[in-house]
Amino acid sequence: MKLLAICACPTGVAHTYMAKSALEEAASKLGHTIKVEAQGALGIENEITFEEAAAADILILATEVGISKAERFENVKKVELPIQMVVKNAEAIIKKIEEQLGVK
Amino acid sequence: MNKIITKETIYVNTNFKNQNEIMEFLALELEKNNKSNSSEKTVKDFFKREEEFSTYVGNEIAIPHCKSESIIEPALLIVKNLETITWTNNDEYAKNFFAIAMPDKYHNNTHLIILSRLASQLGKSDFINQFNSLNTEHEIYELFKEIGDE
Repeated sequence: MKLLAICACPTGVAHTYMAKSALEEAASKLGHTIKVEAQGALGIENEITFEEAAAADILILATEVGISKAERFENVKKVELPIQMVVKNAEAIIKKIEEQLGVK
Repeated sequence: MNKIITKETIYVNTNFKNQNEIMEFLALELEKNNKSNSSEKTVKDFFKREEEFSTYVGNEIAIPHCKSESIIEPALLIVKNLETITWTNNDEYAKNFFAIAMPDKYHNNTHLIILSRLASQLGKSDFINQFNSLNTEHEIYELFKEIGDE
């Protein structure tokens, strides 16, 4: 699967980057590609392009706040989860997505 | 050059019995190290974040953090408690704490970059395993020091 994710936590440093790492590790372990954009105290890092959004299977919104430049994802399948849940359960979440999209 | 991770702010084999004790300790240490100008306000702000959502992140790790007017300079404190304690919710048992304190308004990117790198490491299972195997301030400092130096 081509996964995308945006991690955004109010402090902008803690959960944001933990979730990003956890998702990247889990996706790699399960054999998927993922691009994780971090929206935090450093602004937008690893920004997802319109093209990448169009080609993705799903966008994981790991956030407690609204995201910037949301218009990129108007036509993308999304799942929104609290960021702290993503940090704790990145692998389980991706497996659940696999199930829901009928991938494995 | 990184002033965020120092041996002085790593605490190993502590004996805290509950979340309150740890939060107060963190705030007092921040004040002692001149990173906070009010431990009272800092504790309040740590708890305020905790109320929004728990900072327990699995693997017996919690990352209490706050963005506070009481914080003068960003700081990281690492605490390795001897026993697990109940964190914010009853099913959360933590004994490793990484506390990040951020000033309300801050524009020095270097500190932010270091903190974000640290947070990234905490999302990786290898790093967590490594951290769990270390038992002295010195070893932990060596592990974290490299993060700041990239």
